[in-house]
Amino acid sequence: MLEMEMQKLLEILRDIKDDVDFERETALVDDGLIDSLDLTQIIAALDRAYGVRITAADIEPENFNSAEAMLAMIRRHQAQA
Amino acid sequence: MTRCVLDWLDAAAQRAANALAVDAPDSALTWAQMRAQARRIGCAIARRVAPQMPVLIVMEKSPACVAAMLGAVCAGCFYTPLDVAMPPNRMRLIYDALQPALVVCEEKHLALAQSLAAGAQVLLLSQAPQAEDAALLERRREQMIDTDLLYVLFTSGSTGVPKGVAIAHRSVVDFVSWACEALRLPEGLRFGSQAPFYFDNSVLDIYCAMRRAGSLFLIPQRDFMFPRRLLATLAQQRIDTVFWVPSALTLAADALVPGSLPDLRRVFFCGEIMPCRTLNLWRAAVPEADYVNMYGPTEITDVCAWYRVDRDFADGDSLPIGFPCANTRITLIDGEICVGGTCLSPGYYNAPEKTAEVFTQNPYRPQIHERIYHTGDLGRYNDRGELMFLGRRDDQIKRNGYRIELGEIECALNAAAGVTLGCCYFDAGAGRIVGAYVGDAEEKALKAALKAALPKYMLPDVLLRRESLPRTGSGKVDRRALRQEVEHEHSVR
Repeated sequence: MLEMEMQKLLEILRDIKDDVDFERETALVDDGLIDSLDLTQIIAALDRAYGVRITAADIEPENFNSAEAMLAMIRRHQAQA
Repeated sequence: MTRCVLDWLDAAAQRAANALAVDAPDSALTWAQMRAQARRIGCAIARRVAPQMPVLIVMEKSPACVAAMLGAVCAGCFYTPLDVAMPPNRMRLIYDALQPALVVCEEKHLALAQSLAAGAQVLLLSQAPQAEDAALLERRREQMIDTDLLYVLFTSGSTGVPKGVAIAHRSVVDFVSWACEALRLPEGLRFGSQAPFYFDNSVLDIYCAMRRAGSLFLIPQRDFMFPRRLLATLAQQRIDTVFWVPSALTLAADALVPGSLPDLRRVFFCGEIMPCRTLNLWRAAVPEADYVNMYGPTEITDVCAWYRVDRDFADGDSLPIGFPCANTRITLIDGEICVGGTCLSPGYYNAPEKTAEVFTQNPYRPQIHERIYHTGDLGRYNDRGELMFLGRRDDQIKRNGYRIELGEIECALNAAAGVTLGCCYFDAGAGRIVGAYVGDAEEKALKAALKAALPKYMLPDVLLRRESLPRTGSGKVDRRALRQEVEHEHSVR
């Protein structure tokens, strides 16, 4: 189940940026692998795909450094809903 | 009377020698250091090139980059800061249009500078002499007149070639003098800089800081990804003045906490439409600040109209762009905003035909040569006599404050292998550029080809392969019809 969710997220991320290894990278923000335009697109895509509303409080480097961190953030939102 | 921005540099280095001029988290220059560095770089440039020649600056945004820009000015030359992140192919177009006499860089970008320069001279900042040749700089300064160029900034061009907007000293002197007074900028103010130096909003940041012997903190670009971090930086650095594109203010708006920015006194914006919702969030959190909406294309030196927020607006209202700046005239001709005055660019560098298209004789003053600039923006006056911005009359768009010609994107699409015809449109509501094409190109390969031709902010968010593209009566590709087709298909699905 978790694996399927991860595959779906990876697909969304690869669609936005195909030259980053989202499966393995754990410092997407800290290493400068994604920039502000990428981040805007990622947030919009997550909003669309998961129906979660990502707020200013969520937009912190640690929530976007890896696909795993993004998935954890989405699940927190889904649990609250 | 001030003829040249260097008068302000001299004055700041005297009045505020040991105060910060430009700083970033990892480097800083005081006004005395800024002047000394600029003069040493100026000597190195003056020994290599004649006055009034273009100098290309291949550097990241940093205090040293400002010193290099001012170094070119000390040598009686003018500068173009290059966006070092843009694709090499587009850098080449800019290089060819500018034909710089010299390329200035640091070690980090030496290989890039050399590949661009191909035979022309490259100056490493570390090669600047340790001591200045005051007599050489004095001679260059004496020769200067205020119609000499200060900088050339490149903007998107609809035929695929970026246009170099040339601006003379006198326009910046005129604009900055107006800004310091009208915007009530105090001596020693502290700017939080967002605009890249290749974007004309930075002209106000740099030269107003200089004129008022204040300081310019270069906010790290990464802070603009994370609202809370951005606001923390503003507070820590005790920023009192910002001049940002509205998208940056919008990003931070939802994270604002009342009382958390006690130093912030001036919030200025320009570059795209300011949503009143964003304005209202800022005014609620920082009620004591001055809010000023500004308007103007690069061709008229950053800003030609301004509106100080003096009443309440509902979230859905449109904010006026207000009134012309002093010494600037705005005329509506068939609804198009046309501008005249000292602020006008003498034209696009090395492009007399393009210049003639938009810089024309004022039709209301046929008796004498008087130029006006046709902005391509549409405006009208509201019942208070304030100018309102209504949109574009052509295919220029704004995304995150960046000025983009859809034509430049289409040129890149049409030049890509496997594309027989390309077209794109902008969905402003979603902030998305939608590209469509006919041909056998694979989406992935096409994306890569566009990446090599266009800066990132111009890349289409979606690429759609189509059997055909709709045409207008005259046979041109019809963007509006394409958009209707695409949106209809999506709503049916």
